[in-house]
Amino acid sequence: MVGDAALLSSGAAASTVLASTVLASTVLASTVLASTVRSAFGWAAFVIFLSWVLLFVLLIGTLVAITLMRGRRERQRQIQGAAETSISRPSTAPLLPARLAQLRSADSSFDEQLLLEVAQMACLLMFAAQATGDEQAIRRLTAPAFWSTFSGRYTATTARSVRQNRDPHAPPTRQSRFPVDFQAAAPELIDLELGAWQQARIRVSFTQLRAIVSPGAEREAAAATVTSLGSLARSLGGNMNDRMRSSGTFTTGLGWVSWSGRYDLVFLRPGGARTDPAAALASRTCAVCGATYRSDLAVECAHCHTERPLAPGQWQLADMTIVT
Amino acid sequence: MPATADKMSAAERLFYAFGKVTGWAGSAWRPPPGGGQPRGCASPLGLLKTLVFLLCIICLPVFMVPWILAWTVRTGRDGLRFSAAVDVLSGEKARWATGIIAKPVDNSQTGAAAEEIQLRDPGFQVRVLTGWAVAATGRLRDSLLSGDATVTRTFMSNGLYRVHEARLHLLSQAGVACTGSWQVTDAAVTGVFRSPLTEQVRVRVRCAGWRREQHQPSGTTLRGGPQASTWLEDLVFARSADALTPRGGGLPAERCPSCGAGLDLDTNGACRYCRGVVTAGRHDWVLVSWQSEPW
Repeated sequence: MVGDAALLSSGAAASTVLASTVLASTVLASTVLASTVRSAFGWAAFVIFLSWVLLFVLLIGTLVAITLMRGRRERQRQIQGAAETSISRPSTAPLLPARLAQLRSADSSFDEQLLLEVAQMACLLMFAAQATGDEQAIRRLTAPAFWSTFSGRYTATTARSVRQNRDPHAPPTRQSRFPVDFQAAAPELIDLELGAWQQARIRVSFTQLRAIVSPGAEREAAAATVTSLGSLARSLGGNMNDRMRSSGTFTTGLGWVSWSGRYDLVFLRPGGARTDPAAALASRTCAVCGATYRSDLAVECAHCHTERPLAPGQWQLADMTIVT
Repeated sequence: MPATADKMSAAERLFYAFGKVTGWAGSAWRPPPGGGQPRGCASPLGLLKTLVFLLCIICLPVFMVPWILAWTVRTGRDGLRFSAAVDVLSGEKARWATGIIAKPVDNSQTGAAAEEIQLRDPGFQVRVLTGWAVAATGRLRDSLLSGDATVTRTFMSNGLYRVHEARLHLLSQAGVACTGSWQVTDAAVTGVFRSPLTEQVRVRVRCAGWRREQHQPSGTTLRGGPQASTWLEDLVFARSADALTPRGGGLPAERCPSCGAGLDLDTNGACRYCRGVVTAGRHDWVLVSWQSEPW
């Protein structure tokens, strides 16, 4: 019995110790956990707060920089004088006529008119890619180096964004983004450099109007032209609202975005390249089945599905810079 | 190179994933695919989605800031220059600002340039171009209504023709159709310009009638309507600075400017008789720019 009592007594003591230990551990763990949780929430709140601050600093900084640059550009415009018209004197390089003659003597089939046509076409295809998300047609006309320039990256990113932003809930026929108008002044050859690589610089002025027919089209169009913090907030809020409410109802909206500007397009080809006169004429029909391509948007034959080839000696778009 | 070759950066992937989560969370407030009312917070899943959506709004900049920073680093000063230089408009402002017709060039300048051209080329007559502009406007109307660019082949430069053809292709792909009926009531030369490389003449025509552009899959009217109206269109004709008016009258007289045969061109703008490409502007005037007032 004594042994039992001792055992009981020692057991009770052990139980008490164990209970005390568990209680103490629980209290400690709870305290540590609470503190950890508090600090995790604290950190999360701090990160979120900091990112809001950063977002506003970035946006305000960008808006200020763009406003200042726009102001400087407007002042320069005013100094330069009258408003521009489509028929304006070309600002051609002084050596252009001589270089043109030199190129014509080296390449008797060279025709600057064909080059100007490609430039005009490249502009439309680029803006079509940005509107529809389909960039295969413009990729036919560009050199690989183009896609590492600002214009190339911008076109690729915008086209990809359009592809990703297509509303998966709305039927494909109810959402479209396409250029309805593309009005370009006659392009001008303004510079030509001959060397290991032949380089032609062509100036194109144009205005394009893009229609967006999709749920939330007005908001999508507005997001393309955010000019102030107010419009940014309205655009962000509107997009969130559309995500919550409009998408499933398939209510088709209509939005408009217009672009205008002057661009210098740089075309390159190897120094020894020569124009193939037959290729220029044959480029509109499929070499395999003879069918006519519907337009320059076609990257393969609609009948035999053969890939549309690129003419040898073809100039390729290497860069596109905006004229400020 | 396929379009999918562009790899997204980590910041872009993060922002894209955030967008997907927001889209999923927002679905609680959309009507179900079969119709009916959105479920909202009525179910535990709906409540969870709503909470996630609210969390997404709070956390938006956490995902947006790296994306903006990555884009700023990638584009650098070029991105700012581009944003400052490009003129982008949206909404009704965009629609009504596109295609504003420029003021006519000073009459004395136009007259002097026309005289200069006439001295070099005695066959040049301005009224021939105004008459041709009226005919060209009619064919442009036919091509817009039919969606087929072929009828414009005889007067458009190759570059403009390719753009016009691609534009009609884009509209057809998008399911946009143009309907209407209009004709030219007045035409006048509003600018003449000569440079060492080219000569250009701008003709302004006034059109009367009605026109409508409609997105057929959704039935949305994009522009215009059945009501009658008048509007201006500008047509710019150009030719090489050393070109002379062809003996038979050239393209405005429906003759090949190269061989003088009756005009019969293939899709490349080459004469079927002499095989010469006559729509490049080397032999005769061709339409290089066409602009219609906002509508």
